[in-house]
Amino acid sequence: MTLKAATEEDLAARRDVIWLEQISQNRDKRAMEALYQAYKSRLIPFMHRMTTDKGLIEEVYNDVMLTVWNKASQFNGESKVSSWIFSIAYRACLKILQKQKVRRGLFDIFTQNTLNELEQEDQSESDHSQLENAIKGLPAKHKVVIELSYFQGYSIEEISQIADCPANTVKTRLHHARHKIRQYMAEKG
Amino acid sequence: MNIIDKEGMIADYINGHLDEKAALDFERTMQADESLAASLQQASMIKNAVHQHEVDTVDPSFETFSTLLNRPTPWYSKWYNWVPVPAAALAVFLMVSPQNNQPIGVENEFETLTNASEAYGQTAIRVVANADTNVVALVGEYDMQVLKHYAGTNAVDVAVNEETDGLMKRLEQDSRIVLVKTLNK
Repeated sequence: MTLKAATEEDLAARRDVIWLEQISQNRDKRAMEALYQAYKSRLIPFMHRMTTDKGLIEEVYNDVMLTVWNKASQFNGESKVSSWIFSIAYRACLKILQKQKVRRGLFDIFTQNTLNELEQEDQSESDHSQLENAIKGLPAKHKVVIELSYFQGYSIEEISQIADCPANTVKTRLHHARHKIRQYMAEKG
Repeated sequence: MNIIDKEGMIADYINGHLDEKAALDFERTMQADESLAASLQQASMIKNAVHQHEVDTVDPSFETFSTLLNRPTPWYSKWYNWVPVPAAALAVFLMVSPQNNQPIGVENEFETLTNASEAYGQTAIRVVANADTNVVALVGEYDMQVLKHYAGTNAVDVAVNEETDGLMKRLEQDSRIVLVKTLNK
């Protein structure tokens, strides 16, 4: 990481802390708006890739931000504000995935051909973006480490805080995820 | 360094989370380890590629969101965090309390006058006298031995030494007696 990038990251982290303090102490809506706008560019692509359900993204994003608003005073400062917010978003995505799993299970019971159709759809999409499809195909626990490491640039320690699992588990998941991506791309390419 | 630790080092290296010394050590290790160099190259390739696939997606509005901020917090919301406490206490109570289906209470609480399961080991009858009569004195008149006096009632179980039918007839004719019943023979 360059010195400039590190400084920018430090500034962003300090700015996040100030906003969160203003929210928890003064219920400051301007600080909330600033935080809301600042995290859009990071959280929305994260949620999109995690859930693949575009229709729910806005609702989930607002839920995450409402949790931040309501629980700002519970932030204990042991991690970065961004890690704390990502951990809230990660749990929200897991809930969505659980609902999607149940819905898909019910759907499959009624329509046997659905999976085949989806696979065909995926196949045609894979021409556009093999990597994206490779990541989409990963299980949620692998997807999140790829997302947080490669997209968001978090350290192993930070990912372990966000995903609430030991650092060694993060490394193992990262290893398996990368292996699966490599395998997928070798098969398709 | 095992394969899993290498994975962690690669991720932290490409994201700039290693300090200067650790980064130099890593680079030195990489020079001697071809597979590590290949893994790093692949990880970097993924990282660069993923950033070219930024998703074009929704743009939530703060104006809509801000209406949620004005909603009053429900009065019970602050108690949510305490719900697990009584739930855990109840669970512990259920786990440690004796698994006894018997009713809790004094001995013979549910004994009734119609319960004929007693086994006195000899012929016995139950005598219930009216409210104005002392049942113990009454059975004394008939020279019968009291086996059990039901506390707080005018009922006794007595041993029968003579021929039962004759005794039962005499007791049934006694106006002070409400009920006579043979328990066993």
